[in-house]
Amino acid sequence: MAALLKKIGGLPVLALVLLAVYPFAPVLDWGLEAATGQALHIDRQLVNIFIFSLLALALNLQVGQAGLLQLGIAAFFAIGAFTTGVLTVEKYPFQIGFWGALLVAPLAGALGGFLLGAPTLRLRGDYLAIVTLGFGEVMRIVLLNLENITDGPRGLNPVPPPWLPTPIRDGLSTNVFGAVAGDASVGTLRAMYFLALIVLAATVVCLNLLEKSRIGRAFVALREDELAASCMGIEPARIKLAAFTGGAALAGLAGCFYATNLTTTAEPNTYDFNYSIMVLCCLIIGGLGSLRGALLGAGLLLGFDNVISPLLTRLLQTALGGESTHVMASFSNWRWIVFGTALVVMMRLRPEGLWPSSRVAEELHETQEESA
Amino acid sequence: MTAPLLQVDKLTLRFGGLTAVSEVDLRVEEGQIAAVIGPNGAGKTSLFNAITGIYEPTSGEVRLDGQDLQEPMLPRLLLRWALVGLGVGLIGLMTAANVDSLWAAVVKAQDPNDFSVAHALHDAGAYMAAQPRVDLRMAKYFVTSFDGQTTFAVVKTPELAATALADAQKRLENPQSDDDRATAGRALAALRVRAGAFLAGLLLGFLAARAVWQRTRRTPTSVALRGVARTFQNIRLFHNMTVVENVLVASDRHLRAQAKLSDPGRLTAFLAPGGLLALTVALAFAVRKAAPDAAEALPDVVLGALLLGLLAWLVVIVRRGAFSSASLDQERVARSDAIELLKFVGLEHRLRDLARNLPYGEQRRLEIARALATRPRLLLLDEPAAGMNPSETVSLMHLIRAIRDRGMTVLLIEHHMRVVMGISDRITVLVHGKRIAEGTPDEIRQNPAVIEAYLGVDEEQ
Repeated sequence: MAALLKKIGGLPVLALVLLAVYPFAPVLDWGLEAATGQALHIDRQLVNIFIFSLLALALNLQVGQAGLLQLGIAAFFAIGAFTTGVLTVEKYPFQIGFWGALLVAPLAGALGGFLLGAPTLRLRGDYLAIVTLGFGEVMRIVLLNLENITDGPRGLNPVPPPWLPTPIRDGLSTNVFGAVAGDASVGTLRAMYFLALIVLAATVVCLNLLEKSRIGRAFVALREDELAASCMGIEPARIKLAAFTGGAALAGLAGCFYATNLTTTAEPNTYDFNYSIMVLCCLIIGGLGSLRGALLGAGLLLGFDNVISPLLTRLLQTALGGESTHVMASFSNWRWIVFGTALVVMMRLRPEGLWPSSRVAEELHETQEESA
Repeated sequence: MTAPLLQVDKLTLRFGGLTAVSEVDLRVEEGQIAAVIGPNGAGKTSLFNAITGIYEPTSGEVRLDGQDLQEPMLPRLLLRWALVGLGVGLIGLMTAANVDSLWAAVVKAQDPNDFSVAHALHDAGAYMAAQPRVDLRMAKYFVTSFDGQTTFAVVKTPELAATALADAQKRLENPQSDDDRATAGRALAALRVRAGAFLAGLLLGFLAARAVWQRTRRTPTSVALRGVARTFQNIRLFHNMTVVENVLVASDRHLRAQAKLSDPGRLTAFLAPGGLLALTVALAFAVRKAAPDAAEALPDVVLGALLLGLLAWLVVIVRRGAFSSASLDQERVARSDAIELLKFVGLEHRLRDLARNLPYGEQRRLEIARALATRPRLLLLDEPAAGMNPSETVSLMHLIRAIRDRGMTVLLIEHHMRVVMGISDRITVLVHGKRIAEGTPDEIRQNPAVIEAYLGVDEEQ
């Protein structure tokens, strides 16, 4: 039993903590609002973080574990979101609902990953990065131009909330202070909170098992010495394709949650190169190749974007007096500078990330010693 | 007479103008210890690389047990290439036919709440054949040419649309006006482009798949899987993995072989969630179609089943370690096998150390253990004694003999004449990429050509 617990890892404990935190979200909100004068909606932010964490884990499987530099993860995220949109919105005859889309979106992502990966994974690092970067942009423009299917820049909406059994649904639309009459969005938000948390926890368990398995060992061996690994009977192309397809499937799953949570697929321009780079930033800040690092990075980045950034904007506004419309007065206009600086500082001081896996840290320092 | 275990025939390896290996013949009988010697730059390591699939030989053959190490051409490969071609061809076809308009003609042309799959299929066929089509826009039915450039009629009901469509088809079959002739001409041209795109894709995919196969007929992996393992002159361990993990990586081939889908636990683990979700979708679709009122109550039942199924699936995964692609039991066996191998090479005290923290001689031993873990028939050792002190060298000789006694055949490159002469059954001498001598250690020791190549010094001791 202890061995089993070790194999699964400590992160499910975190999931349990988050489950327990939920009922107190309104209290936390109230406290923070009193302290900062800003409504933060902790529960809403956490749902976003869960979904973004799924995406970060997907990219981590490809970049961190298998060592494939992929710069177009947003494309697979978009595939998942738009598959969900097409299959659930009222204007199309499919309408299979969230649960059906939950199955099909990862499959669509996996198909996209397979089709892109099968011919290109034989390329070496830099070339693969360029191909995936190109694919990300192509996918965005294709989605924009398939106007009959995706409604172009408007995106598909409304994406319906998940079907839930009546008792659960009714239970979800009340809170500790009693019923929230007539507010269906409260129930949907809670459903998304628990669903995303459960799926995230299950994903972490599976990825943890994967890391300690035969395939996980093959990942490490391929990163360290591809030639030696292939001389030991490991098929590099196969293992890489598996990682790429798996990561794409996971990104598709995240896309399904994203569209459902947002109730729209959003416009295709949302899934641009910046988005892919944001996800990569999460990994670099948290620690490439480490599950806990990916989660930490996603939390930090979204926390900064959605919590700290609005707070600072408010401070700036107060300092400048009243409702200044000056471009410098909104902190969100500063965020890329802050991200960039943070990345440079990270690279200089702690290239392995804030919470790396010990193995990746060793690898990184070894190459540093060699190049020094 | 049975074929030798390894048979190299007239193997030549050229890099541009440099001939590294020139028409070398080599035979290694089962159960022997054979050696390849020669001065630096004689092409010994190149020969190893050509045998293990790292380099593709310019000419010549390598046979293991009488069978070529290249993957043979089989009829089913044609089928595989054709499938790839078909996929690429379909992508070409969809690009040429414009998938966006196809969607408009097939899915959007019907009321989403009264959708008929048969009707959609029929529409798709008509669209692909560049026939006139019906678009539903703003509650009106537009009967247009395949590309939407000519509008034949705008009507309000699907019945009228069907009639108008039939009329339009008739008009295009016997075009009377210039407009109709132009439309029919465009349709024909579009059909040609589509067919061309499909055929080009088919050909491209087929040829590309064939080219990839041609280039991967012999890879290090395929050679290793056929039962030839090797070590490297410059040690290539997985430095940041532990000693046990290094060996486990190599034994994973057997784990994979055991972890076949036939294992019922694995089958359940992989099929249960997919099957369950597929069932949910099908059920939801069917009920929504048959009784829209019942759809409200359905999710309760389905979700209950779904959650139970997911729970069962998680239990299966954790119980059997299905995600490790080998059950926990198999993993345990592999681990104990690895430890047994490490005992065999004398590294049992180092199991949990990182490979890069091992002293040089032990790294060499670990490399041998890792190669043995692939359970090879033929083991290629590239300078196993390099950098070893005399006592380490002696124990290495014992180890190589013990490997042979386990039923494996060994082929080694070595500069230490004491090792070569002491343990080899047959010796091949390479100089400047050519084989100049082959024989027993005694024959080689007295061979004048060999003595000359080594500048008159036959032994280092």
